[in-house]
Amino acid sequence: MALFGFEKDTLLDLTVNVIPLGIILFFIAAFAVVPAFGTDPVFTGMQFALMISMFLLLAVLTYYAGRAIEGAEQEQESLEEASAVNEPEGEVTGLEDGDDAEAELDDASADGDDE
Amino acid sequence: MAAGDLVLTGLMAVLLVGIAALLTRIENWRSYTPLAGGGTATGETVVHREKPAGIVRWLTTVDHKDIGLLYGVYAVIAFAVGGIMAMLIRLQLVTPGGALLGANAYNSILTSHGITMLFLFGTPIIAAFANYFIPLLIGADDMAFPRINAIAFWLLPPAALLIWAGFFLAPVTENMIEPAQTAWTMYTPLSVEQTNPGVDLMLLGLHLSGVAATMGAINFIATVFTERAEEVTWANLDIFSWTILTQSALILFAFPLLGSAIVMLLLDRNLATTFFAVEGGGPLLWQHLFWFFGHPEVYILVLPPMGLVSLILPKFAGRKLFGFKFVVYSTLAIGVLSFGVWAHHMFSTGMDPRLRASFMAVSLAIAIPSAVKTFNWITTMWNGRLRLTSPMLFCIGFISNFIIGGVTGVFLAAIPVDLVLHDTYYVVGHFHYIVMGAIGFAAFAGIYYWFPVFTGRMYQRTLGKAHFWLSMIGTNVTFFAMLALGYLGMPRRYATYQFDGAIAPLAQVQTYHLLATVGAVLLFVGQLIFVWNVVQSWLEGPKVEDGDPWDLERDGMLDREFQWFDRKLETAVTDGGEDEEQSALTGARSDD
Amino acid sequence: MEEQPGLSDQYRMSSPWPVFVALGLALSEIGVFIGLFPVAVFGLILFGGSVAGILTESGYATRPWPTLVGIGVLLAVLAALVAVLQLPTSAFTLANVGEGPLFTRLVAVVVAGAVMVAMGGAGSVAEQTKV
Repeated sequence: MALFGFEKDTLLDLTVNVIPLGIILFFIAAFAVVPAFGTDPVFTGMQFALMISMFLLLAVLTYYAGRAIEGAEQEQESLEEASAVNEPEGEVTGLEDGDDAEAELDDASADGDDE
Repeated sequence: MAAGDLVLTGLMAVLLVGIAALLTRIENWRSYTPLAGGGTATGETVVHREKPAGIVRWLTTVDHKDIGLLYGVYAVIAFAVGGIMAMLIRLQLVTPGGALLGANAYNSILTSHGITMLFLFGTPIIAAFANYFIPLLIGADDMAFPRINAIAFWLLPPAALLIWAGFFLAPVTENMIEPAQTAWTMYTPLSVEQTNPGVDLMLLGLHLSGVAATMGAINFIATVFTERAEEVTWANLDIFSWTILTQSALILFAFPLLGSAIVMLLLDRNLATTFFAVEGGGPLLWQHLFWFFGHPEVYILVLPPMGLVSLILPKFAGRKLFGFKFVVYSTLAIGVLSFGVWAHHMFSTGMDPRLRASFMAVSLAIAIPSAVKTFNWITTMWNGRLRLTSPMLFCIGFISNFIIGGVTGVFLAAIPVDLVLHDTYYVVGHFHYIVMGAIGFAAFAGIYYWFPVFTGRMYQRTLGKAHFWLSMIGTNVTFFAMLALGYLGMPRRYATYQFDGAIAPLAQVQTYHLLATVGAVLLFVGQLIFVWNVVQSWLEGPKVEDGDPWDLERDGMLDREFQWFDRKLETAVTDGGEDEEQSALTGARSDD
Repeated sequence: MEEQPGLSDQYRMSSPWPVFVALGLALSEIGVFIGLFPVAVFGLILFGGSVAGILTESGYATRPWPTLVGIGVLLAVLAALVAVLQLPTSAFTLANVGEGPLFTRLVAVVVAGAVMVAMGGAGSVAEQTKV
């Protein structure tokens, strides 16, 4: 599965932002189908511009954030595979815990004497 | 007039010559070389080779940890001032006729309470944590621009003095210059028509604080993007840094707009421009500009506290943060959507219903990311090995209060409900649950959690718990009573409420006001304990000898800042034990 | 980072300039917006001077004087531009200083700019003749 070129895990993480996107989309559709206050070129235009711009901005930011995080993750994984360092409790592919375990474990284990 | 000018000129000349003399002593302009350790040109003794001693050290520091501490001290002082103002407001409203203050004094204090708490406590306390810990958490040597960091802080004291200027100047100038009475929203035309120069001073203070916040934000963005240690990537960047990054982006877009709007208001007031006049841009333009800043400001204040809770809560739950990336993505979502909801503060202004509807849609959508975080925190605690230390208690209190504050907010996002509750105490109760119950609590959690790092000592645990319970009960008594007052129709901002008991339930209103005041007293006592605890423990508390005072190693959750702290303690020991106060406050980094 | 010469080996974690940059900005805002002529002039000079100083200290500039002259010119030109665009030429009289609210403020800015140019010029001349 490679929707927008994301891995399944990343897609699952991104669902969190799909919900607000869906709500906005619902209202866009609802207001388009039932224009309760009539239509007016200026105000209806602004009304939809507002919702659509928010929808697009959120979608774009989510996309790029997902890209950046997934990219960094893959890079890290390939590094870890290459060097095969001591990974404390090999939970790397868990659904929700794996991701943050990874994030936190690195802090704890990867570095003792940085700076 | 001429005499006054002359005096001012003399004063300024003396000031300038004094500063120039001071600077030439410290800095040799003609042949500048960075001063090596051992002494400064001022001839002071040097306890640490990076910094001069005494008060000069604090005035000249560009070390992110020192600046963080300065921000923290500044914020706590502002919190005390704003808190005393809040107590005066609550005491005033014990009786319908007002127990304490005249209407003007009440309005002044109400205005200053809001501005003080939001701009002089809220933003700086977040900057305090961010300055101290972002570089440590991401493994940077310092902020990207240490000097800009210092400039941003030093803009704040003048900002506070200007915002409070009316209170100092009113007695001296026989009320020629009074404190501003505009409410923190400074709505036009009221704020244009008040001829009181105190309003100008307050606006300038706000402008300076906005400049400071913007400089800080640029610095944080640059730091997180460019100064990360090699092994810190976007995939394992800690949650607090994520929220600070998002917050800084919000500041970058929101605060310059506030600054411009304030300049426009100042021009309207002093130079007869017509930006917000009926024949010009119209008074509603101010509301649009203000809330385009104002709503992101809400998230500027709440995102980093959310990050703090996301960082601290797992440490005492013995589990990793559930759905770390959910929290990251929802933080980003809040960041974007916060710019599309501003007019939900203006539903009752008579704007076009179609526009209102779209603002309602986005406002309802933005509730989701916040709710996601709440569920993540609750799930993190689920089946965890909870340790109810003071920071943990404050985190749990944060969640509890945030739920009440958040859910009441969702109702306000719906236009029909908002039209009924607009400008009542319901709104006041709602946002105080967030700003005190959530943001304040997260700040306390942060202060207790990192108290050993800040001071090298441990706070007094019993006092910490007393502080928590008094704050928790006080917050809920005070602000829940306000929600009830809102349902009874009590309008906000009023200095008195002597309305006709036949048309409104005056007796109940008074009872709830009384309850709110009782809660405020509890809160006040709690904060007294807090200040006592911090000051006494800083001076005399037991020294922390373990680099891991919270026993985080066991769960593999010892973050970088505590690793740094551990190294510092060890270095201090191998050095033969530096003077402990100095070693607590300066880094030992150069010895690494 | 380049802007901190020798920071990596020196760790000189203090600078006297930030306080004065902040103070200068605060005083110039008060002076210009409230319309206090001396405060505006001295505030702007302090601000410009401190900016020149901090840029020199952090290695963005080798000497402070050109920066000072630059800021002075910039301020004076900006204020003059606003004056030309916003005020009728009849307002440009010496008697008007202290009368028109906008004109007085702009004169303050121009004066501050002129003083900075003079200071910068004097500073670099003095430096060249001495060394």
